[in-house]
Amino acid sequence: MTEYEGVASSRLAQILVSNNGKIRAYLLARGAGDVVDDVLQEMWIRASRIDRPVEPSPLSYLFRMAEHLLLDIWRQGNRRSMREAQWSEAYQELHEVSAESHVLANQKVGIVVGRLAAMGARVEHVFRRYRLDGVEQRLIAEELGVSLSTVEKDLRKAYTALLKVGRDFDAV
Amino acid sequence: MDDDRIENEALGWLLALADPRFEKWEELTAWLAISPEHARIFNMLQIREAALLEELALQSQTRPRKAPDVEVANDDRPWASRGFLVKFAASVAVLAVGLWITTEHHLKDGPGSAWKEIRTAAGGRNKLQMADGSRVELNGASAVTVAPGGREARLLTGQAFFTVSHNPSQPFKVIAGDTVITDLGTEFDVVRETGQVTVRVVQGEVGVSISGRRSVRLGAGQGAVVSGGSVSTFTASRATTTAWRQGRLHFEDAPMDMVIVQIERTTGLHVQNAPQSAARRFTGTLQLDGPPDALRRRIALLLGVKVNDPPLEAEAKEASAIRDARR
Repeated sequence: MTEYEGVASSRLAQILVSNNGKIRAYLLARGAGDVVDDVLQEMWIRASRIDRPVEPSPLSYLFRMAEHLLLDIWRQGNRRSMREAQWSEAYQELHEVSAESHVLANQKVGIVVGRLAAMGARVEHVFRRYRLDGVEQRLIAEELGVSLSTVEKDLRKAYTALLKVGRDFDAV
Repeated sequence: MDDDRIENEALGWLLALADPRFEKWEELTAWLAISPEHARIFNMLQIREAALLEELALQSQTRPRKAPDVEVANDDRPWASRGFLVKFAASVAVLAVGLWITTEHHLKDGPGSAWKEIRTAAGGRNKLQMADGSRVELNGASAVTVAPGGREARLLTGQAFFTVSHNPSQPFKVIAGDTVITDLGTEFDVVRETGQVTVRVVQGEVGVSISGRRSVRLGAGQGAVVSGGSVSTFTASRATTTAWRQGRLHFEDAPMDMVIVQIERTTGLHVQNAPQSAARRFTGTLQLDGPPDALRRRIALLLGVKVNDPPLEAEAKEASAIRDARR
């Protein structure tokens, strides 16, 4: 990819600079103290390359970028990024998930998917439309001919299925 | 249990975050900062969610199309009392982007019956069946409204294929802006874009009128483009017209920007047209099935364009690539 020569300052990069404090606060609140500077540096480089309009707003786009970078770091199993006392459980889980041959990890995800399916085709469908396809809840409701609150309830059920597996497998 | 409360709140945040238009980042920061437990639980759930999404995406790629019929219990009283019967058949799309949904809405006349609106996101699909047996099939990034009694539909944007039951006493009308397509019993495709409506007839015959004035009759294999008040007809092969409904796209000497719009609408991918190829025309068939990476490569190869992931996925991927390169 050679569309961008060098690192130039773009409007998005300037917005990043002005809002450095807010994004830093978010990353710290997430517990990413060790990698905040790495993430911000990465964001500066990427933001500098972006000249097109972004959605939904430049600041929100930057927060999303921060979040993606953070998740990326954690999913790579970078222990350095977590204070072990607090994150050891989360690290355990994602380390299992990223090692595809790990039976327990696959079982866990498989069970969650099974639970999602067990909630009925509509709940699973609504979850996929919202989370995978990025369709607004209001539009999903129109597509299906149901009320918005039905869609909201379905999503709540789907996300609760996501939550339950952890409890069953939590180490004592 | 305090953990329960925190989990429920974290769940609520994750749900809200799943909306691409989420903007309450500072409120989220404040909630996370309340205690380390908040962040710990939130992170765990989000990581779990990410794994689940990957698993679902993988399943979409490898599962063949299936259509279980499911009776949906509708929580909504007003709809139920109007006597709407809604059946859903969900099957996994051949593209790992979006689900194929077949919804059979049976519409009846009744007091307070409203026009029904159906919308799809880019890469999505929808179907609708009317009381008289006529069917509407919607491609991605499209929206259509249908009259409660049937026999009339408005294409608001995008692409729809109409299979109309024969009824000489009551022609079926499709209204796309100023263009009215009248039909007695036939199969035809309509695309409505800004400033332009394209009609292609597969079977039977339609009449196309613009602002009530000009009128043109199109038979099977014929198409018309209505733009700026004028109409031009062309040959529309069955292969071209029906391709999108069969998991592929077919073009015959089509201008590049039209090809790109059709690919984006049907697949939900973003295609960048290089300036030097903008004036080119393209003839060929593009199969849309298989894993998204293969599809992206195929499109890039065939057309000599750049095909992107949605912006944020691309960011995350490049972040990984840079990190890998550093090691």
